Amino acid sequence: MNKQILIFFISLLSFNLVAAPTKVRLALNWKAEPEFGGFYEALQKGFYQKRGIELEILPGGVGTPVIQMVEGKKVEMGISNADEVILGRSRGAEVVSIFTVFQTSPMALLTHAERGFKELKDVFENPGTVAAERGLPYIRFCEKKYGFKKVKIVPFLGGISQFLSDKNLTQQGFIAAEPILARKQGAQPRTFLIADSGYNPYFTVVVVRNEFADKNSQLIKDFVSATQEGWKSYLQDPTEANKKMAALNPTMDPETFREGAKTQASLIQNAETEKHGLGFQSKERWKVLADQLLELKVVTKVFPAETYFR
Amino acid sequence: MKVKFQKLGLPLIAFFVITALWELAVKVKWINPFILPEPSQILDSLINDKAELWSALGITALSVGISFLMSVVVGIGAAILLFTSETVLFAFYPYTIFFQTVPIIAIAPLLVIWFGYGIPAVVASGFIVSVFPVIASTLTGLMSADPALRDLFRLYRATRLQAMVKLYLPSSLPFIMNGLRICGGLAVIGAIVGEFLGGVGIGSIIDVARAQQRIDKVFAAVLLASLLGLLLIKGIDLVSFLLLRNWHPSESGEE
Amino acid sequence: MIDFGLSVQVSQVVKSYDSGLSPLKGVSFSLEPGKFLALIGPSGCGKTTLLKMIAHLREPSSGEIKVGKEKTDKERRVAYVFQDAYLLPWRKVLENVTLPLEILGASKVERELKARKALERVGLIDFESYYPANLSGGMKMRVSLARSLVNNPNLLLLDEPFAALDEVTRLRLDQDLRNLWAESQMTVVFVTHSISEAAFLSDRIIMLSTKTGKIQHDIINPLPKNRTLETRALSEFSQLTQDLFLRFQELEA
Repeated sequence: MNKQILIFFISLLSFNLVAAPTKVRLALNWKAEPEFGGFYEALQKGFYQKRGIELEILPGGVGTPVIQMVEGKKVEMGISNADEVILGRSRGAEVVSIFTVFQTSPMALLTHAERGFKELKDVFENPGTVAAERGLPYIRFCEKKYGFKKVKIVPFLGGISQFLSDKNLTQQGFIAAEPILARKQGAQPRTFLIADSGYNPYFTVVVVRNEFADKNSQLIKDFVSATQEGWKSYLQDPTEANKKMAALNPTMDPETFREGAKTQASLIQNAETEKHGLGFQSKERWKVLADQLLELKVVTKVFPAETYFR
Repeated sequence: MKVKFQKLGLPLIAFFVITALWELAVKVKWINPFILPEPSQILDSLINDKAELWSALGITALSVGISFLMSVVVGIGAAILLFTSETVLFAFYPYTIFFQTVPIIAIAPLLVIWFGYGIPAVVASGFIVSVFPVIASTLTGLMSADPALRDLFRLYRATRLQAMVKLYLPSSLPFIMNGLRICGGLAVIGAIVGEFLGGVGIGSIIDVARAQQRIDKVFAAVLLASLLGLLLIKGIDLVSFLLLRNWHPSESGEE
Repeated sequence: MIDFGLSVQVSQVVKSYDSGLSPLKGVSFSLEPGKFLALIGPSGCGKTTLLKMIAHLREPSSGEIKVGKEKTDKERRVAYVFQDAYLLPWRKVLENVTLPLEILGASKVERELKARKALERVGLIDFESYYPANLSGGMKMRVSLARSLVNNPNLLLLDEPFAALDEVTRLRLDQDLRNLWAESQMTVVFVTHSISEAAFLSDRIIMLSTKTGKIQHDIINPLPKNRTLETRALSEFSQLTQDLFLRFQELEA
């Protein structure tokens, strides 16, 4: 009888000692697409779970205010890009980047192949229309570097309808998405990476609040390692995660998911990730970006590079 | 005199009190400045960005003006047409409701493709969103003409044109004025939504500033857009007063 | 001598509605030009409907109504005064009175001249620039009367025009109407609920019955032609009103 009571109390105790999994919400800045593949892979294969993290991924859409959501404690983590992190910090949002999916920014400009452009600057040196999100810093960079005298900048409406409707139109997109969609519609896009211009922010980065990172350093470490595992697995075989994402995002078919995953692989891995692991961020890259944004007057003040990431 | 104080003084006092509390709340970080900027920051944006804001406002005002006028003319005209022929009414009235219910955000990209970037798409957007209230209110007004007066006109064998001009249209003026107030507000909204994608005007500034995380500028632009709407509605109020003051209880101040 | 007023011939007029209601089940009478007819009867007896049919604003279900058959179309000028003044509120008094002439296409000069004459006849010439909203009920009704007189009608139809007014105004307007009729020699058909009003105004009284939907009584008014306030004090007046009252009661029984 006493033994049973003892076992009962010990089990109660151990119930308290065994930590309940930590709930973490990750807000995406777009719908489920290959650029988030590693996260979904890690979620599906239980990589977060086995480290005690109960992750909930919240897909986003046009204009999802991720930095505000993280800063406002609506979510614990969010997906953003390095330039937005620097912007947010200059406005007083206390956020840091803990992981970057892309070592090379997948932002690209799509042109019609028949225009015969050979490099990025050709887009701006020939008359035509460019559809872009005019508020994004990369546009300011291109304006400064190439000048917009010959081109007319119009708002980017999303999708590829603008590209398909006008042969003289160049539009922004992700190298792993829009060009593939365009080819499916019978168009012949010739794509140029924005990174070729010298503007190459870390892309699809995970941001958390500074305070959160300070208080949960082990959680952060666990999250990063789970995410690395997920991306490694996704790069090897994206099929499972793609299936899951396709169910969440019916605007892209399985073939496009497959193509997209394949195309983006070379932007995720490079010599540095070989050495330091996936998601690696360097002080030098952050400094270059901060200086670029300062020079463009996109921000009026910057912080030391190491304060932007963990 | 007391009423004048109440009408002008009380809103002003409320404005100052709320603004002061707001400023304080953000300064003590009770509200996160990243999410809701201080009124002083919005004021700064109004001053520093004024060239950009005011020229954009001018473009928006032009688009709103054109789409509003179009809605008035087409709206009243369509209502007269629908009223004149029962066949036309039954055939087409259900489709006019389309203009009321279509989600403009969804078709705005199509408008840009059909009408081109800039003012044409914006005017189209403003028009589509604001025309229905004019049709509906004018139609109601036309139908509200007193049956006894209709008999009177029949007695003197007035032509349909005479009856329309001398009886039905004047009868419907108070209703039309109400419809115009709604139309004006919607024209501003429709224009700004169109501008998100059309790339010009205040709507464009809101869109770009949002991407740049310049929330203070977003608020400044929104404020100017509201002022534009207010100006338009006040203008309609003035016209309503001038047209109705001698005879309609709504403007003659009768109990 | 050609009569100014229109004759009115009502033959076997029936009015029935889809709902099954049938207020008029066969009404016939003939009214000579220049006579003043009062139509009375209980509510729902169809007197307003009959009046509107005489004005050709409504059609009988069967039967016929001929107005001024000996005259040409151009010579027939029918005017109608409703229970309420029904002035156009967005027009001043003068423009309300000119309305019929406007519709008929008269010139501005002619319209305003005739309208002012009509306003004089009803005693409202000083109010031509007023808006209806600023007039009393009695004044509005007088404007409505002036409007009905502006094109010199030879048949005037009135549907309980003074019912909503106070007694003093009503007595005054009864007098004004009788005087106007005497001046012009137009035919008048006057629908009313008031027995004393019918007695004061008319040359002939027709009483309709709700139950039968037909004419129950058709009486010549014995009072002298010239009617004034004193007429109401005559013993013949109270005899007439008593007689009418009794007949009225019979109908309701």
